[in-house]
Amino acid sequence: MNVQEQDIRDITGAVWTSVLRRDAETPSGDPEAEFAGSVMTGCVQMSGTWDGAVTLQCSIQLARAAAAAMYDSDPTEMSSADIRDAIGELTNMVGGNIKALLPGPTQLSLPFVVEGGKYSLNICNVVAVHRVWFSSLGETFVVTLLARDNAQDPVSAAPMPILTGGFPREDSHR
Amino acid sequence: MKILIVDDSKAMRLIIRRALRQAGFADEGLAEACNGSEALKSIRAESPDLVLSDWNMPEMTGIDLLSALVAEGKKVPFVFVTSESTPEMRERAMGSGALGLIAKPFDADKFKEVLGPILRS
Repeated sequence: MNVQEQDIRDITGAVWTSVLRRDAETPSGDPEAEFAGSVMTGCVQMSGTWDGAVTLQCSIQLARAAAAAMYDSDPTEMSSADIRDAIGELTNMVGGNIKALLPGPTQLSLPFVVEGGKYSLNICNVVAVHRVWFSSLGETFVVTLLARDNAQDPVSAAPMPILTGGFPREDSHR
Repeated sequence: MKILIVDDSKAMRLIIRRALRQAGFADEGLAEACNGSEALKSIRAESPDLVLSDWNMPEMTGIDLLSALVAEGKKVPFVFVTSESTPEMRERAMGSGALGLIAKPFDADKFKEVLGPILRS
């Protein structure tokens, strides 16, 4: 495994600065404990010489703000489709650049995006290798690198840890 | 001069438009397609002067689009704009007939550097 936590920080920071024209900083305190509300998860999977996935998880509020930055528009103008598209593309860029540091040849999947107040995301046979937190646009988000663990029993494997916020806040959707 | 932007992400197509404008290519006619299949139809109909294409897309990937253009004898300048930027992918892109590969994320200076010589020629 050639990817270190600092690599994920550098890659995510570069994507955030270039695409959103915002900084992605290291948060203080316990960002997971402070998080509440609906969670959006973007995911790209990798298969080939290296198997695993990269996820990007954030609040709906941050996703909406990120979409507005990408579209150079007002957050209230963003549709659900715009927001999902933005998170999918951000995940694609972070994941694609992480993949460049991993053994190849390895294929990158199209991104998928999940949204909800309380869900458990299962990516079979993987374990979290790095889970890196950031703060941006007044919110926190987390990038997770997951790698295949062939020793893991897919039936009994624990689901990938996700932000376990409460039910959606009333202002989290348009 | 016509440029075709091919990406399944609407947000990314907008970002590419913005980068083209900042790089000084605002006067070019810009068209969009959301996957390789749609792009192929557009290229057959409109004959753009440059194609900027993502790699991974539903229905038809960018590399398959390029292969289809080569098979049809269409000599349209083709540049990938993609998060797939490993040396192996670059080699595959150039070997398939692409004139360049711009890695995401990018800035306007990179567009000037890669696209300037292509559009001037």
